[in-house]
Amino acid sequence: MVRIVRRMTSRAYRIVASSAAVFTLAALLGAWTAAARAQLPAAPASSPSRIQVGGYASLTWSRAADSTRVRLAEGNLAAILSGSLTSRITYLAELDAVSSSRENYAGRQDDRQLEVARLYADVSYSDLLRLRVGRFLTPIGQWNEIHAEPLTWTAVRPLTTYRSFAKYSTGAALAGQGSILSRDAGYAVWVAPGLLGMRDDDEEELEFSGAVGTRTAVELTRGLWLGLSAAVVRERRPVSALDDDSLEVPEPGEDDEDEDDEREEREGRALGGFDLTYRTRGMELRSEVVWLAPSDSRPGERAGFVQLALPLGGGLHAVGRAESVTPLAGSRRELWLGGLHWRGPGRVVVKLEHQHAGRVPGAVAHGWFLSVSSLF
Amino acid sequence: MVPVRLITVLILVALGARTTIAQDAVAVVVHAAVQDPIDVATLRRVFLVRQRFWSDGIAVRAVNQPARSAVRIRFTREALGGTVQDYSTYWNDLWFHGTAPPATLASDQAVLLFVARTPGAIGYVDEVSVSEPPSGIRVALRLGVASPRAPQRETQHAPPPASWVR
Repeated sequence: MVRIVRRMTSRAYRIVASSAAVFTLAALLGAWTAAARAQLPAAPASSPSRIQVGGYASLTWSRAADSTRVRLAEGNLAAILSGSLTSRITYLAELDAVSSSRENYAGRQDDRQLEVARLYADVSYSDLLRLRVGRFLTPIGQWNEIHAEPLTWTAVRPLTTYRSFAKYSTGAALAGQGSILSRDAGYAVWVAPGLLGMRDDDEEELEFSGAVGTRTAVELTRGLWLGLSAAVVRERRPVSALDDDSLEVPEPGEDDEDEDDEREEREGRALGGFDLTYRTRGMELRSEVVWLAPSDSRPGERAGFVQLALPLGGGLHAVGRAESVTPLAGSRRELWLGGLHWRGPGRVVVKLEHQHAGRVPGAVAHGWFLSVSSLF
Repeated sequence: MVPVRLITVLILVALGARTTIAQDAVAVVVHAAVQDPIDVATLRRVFLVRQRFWSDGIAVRAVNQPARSAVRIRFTREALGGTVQDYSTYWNDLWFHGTAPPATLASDQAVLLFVARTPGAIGYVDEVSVSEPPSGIRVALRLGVASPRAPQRETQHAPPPASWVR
């Protein structure tokens, strides 16, 4: 019975995957032609609008360092619906269709066909006080809040930006922004109680089973922004994500037979984050660091990266990144990435990059990656 | 004789330069009911959609001019720093969070009409368009007006990360 269900799931998976790839290609072509006619900055709609429809699409190919085969690693199509019900109430929904995942984290390889990534409503009392309720991007670090393929410098996402915490939280947040000494500043206080009754037992991604956190960000000086994040979290992650092998990348179609491998923490652990962004003359330097404290039964985890993007002219940037990750159990890993990022007409982005796994070749996603993506 | 001619020429050149500056100046206009003081920092927050409400609680309704218009280019340089293109990444990031840039209106006249009729509205026009401001509008700030005592503002101002606690 289980096998039949799995076969049906597998078939449905292939249908969704094929559809996602076709729609992605169509969306890319459509975005290309539409963007060519648009003015900069491309304005999808006037504000405020009751309904705005947008999204993004991406195709990523990879060639592992120990292989000569180039494969379509991921096709992704996301639809974003947003709008304003009144001047103080806004909403946003994001639905993602993913053909398969090439993310370098075993827990993310399966069962990511169609998901509601975000679904929330905002009620603004003022610029300093806004209430958000629903499913939203966990406000830890910068990358996680702007993680769409057309908006990031690299196709390969740093482990730092999702390995130690859930990308999405379901709960509520209070946030606001203002000015301190003519410098922008903002804050968020959020809580994700963990909706245990609603969770999907097949979920392969790390989830919060309870979390409360805060984030603050400030413009220190012209072009330099600093962010600090802190949280107490109870996490539920696949057991495969607990040790060295969590950085393995299974082959496409490879199933994780251990459906009972989920593990859930009973006690809260402290999580800290730090991020820095410096921008000037088209150059961007960014660093993010995340630290998950050990507990009585579990070791801690540390991760951080430094990334530099340099303009070469004509919309072309050279990107380099060094990352270090010490998983829950295991030795420290070093990842080196270098590549090119090209912003073409409109909102089409092409990236070509190579990631090298320093100490344990073969244990993380490494090799060449090519991605074409677009925001529409 | 020569000094007199030279002085005359210098005066004419100076007047010509002054005239040019006046033509290039940008007037920031707000709905008459908006009483908040408007400075460059406020403009930056408002037109980057970081400030959404005035101090009296009325929602900000900012309007832009077309991206390739001279007044938009001038306003972007003076109020935000940099060029219109510099902010395309910023707006793309914000769009990911469902936030669109301020709406675009096609002309000075359209901006003036919108601002006069819409509570909380703010826009900008060529200064010559508000030599006689229509009713319902307050000219809150003039940008690009040369003054020997005014400090030279830095124009290299990188767009902020859009991901701040959105």
